Amino acid sequence: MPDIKTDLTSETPLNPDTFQAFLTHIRSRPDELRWTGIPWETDLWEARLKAAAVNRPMFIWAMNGNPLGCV
Amino acid sequence: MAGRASVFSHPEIIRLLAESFVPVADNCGYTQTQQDAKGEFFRLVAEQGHYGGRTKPTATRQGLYACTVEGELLASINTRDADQVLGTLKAGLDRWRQRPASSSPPDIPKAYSPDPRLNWSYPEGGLALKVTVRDLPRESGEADPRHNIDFAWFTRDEARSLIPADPQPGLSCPAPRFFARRIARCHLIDTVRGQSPRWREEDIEKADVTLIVERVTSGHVHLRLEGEVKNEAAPTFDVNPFSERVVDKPRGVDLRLLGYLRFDRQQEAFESFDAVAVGPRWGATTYNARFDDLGPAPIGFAFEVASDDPIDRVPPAAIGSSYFA
Repeated sequence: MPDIKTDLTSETPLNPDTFQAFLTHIRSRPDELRWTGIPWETDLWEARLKAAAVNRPMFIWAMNGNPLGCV
Repeated sequence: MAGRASVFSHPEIIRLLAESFVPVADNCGYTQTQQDAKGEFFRLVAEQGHYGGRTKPTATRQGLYACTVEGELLASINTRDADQVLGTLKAGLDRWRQRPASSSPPDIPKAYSPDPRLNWSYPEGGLALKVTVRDLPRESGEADPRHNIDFAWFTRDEARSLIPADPQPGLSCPAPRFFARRIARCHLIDTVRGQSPRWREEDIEKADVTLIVERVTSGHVHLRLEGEVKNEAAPTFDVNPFSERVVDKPRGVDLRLLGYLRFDRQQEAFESFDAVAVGPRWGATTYNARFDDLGPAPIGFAFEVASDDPIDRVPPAAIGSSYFA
């Protein structure tokens, strides 16, 4: 995996002047959020009802831990 | 979480899922065993799939399933390879199209009696935070892209209790104990590479969080958050069933917190909650894939108000009977 670009170094202290750089480094970058463009349903039963209503197959992404949260 | 980058960022997979399926994300850690109609439906599908009947190295049914609403499996796989997933989706769609047309829509009950063990609900009117965790740059300059997300929940009353009754600039108050302990116990956990258990109460050596009123207007209270959290735990000696090795080691975090919060006095809600916790982490747990990176090495956590989008309303990983304790 390629490294990400960052304004931080291993020496950067946390203080009010560097706070924003830490936020920016840690939070997801736009290119890391492409998966949120999928219209995920968040409840298996609701998804089943919706799929029946629109006559489509379901696609289940099942993980130990919520795939949209901490997995 | 690697699948988000390797599979679900692929343009063709995004298009196929959006146009031809009803995609759903499911925590099968619950649905594999939950005793209700939802759990039964998941098991009906999963037992036809790639891990059907499997008990070793684990009984997990993690993976990707294309199925009908009646529970007929169309295709399944467990991989982070986008090309393989694309092939599985196309195979599933082919099977879907080859099915004979049904003369009547399936009869699916709108409601069912849910397993009472899973009875948590979103804190409407409260505070939901999105928490992102990522390694910080090393001395080598390496900046690893891997990261994970979670959500932290506070009830309406809990969120309001973070604001002093008479906020005046310069006023400094310890954050309520529940707030500091929940953040420390449930959310400052090294999950950058994979899941890890929350801390036990006795693992928390220090959880000091202070809220300082910086500015007050008729509409808003602006607060600065400062704090320190130190957690340390002995290994559990659990065996990783995949490697068949004991990979967990003594673990800990030693973090400094800084943040800036804006509370809307009319709405009685936080408009923004931008905070970070940074410092060294060390050790490994059974499933967090740190056995080759025991540290100490720098880690960072970032907090922000979660959006109201359904995908930002999923429960905290540590939700359970004692989460709000």
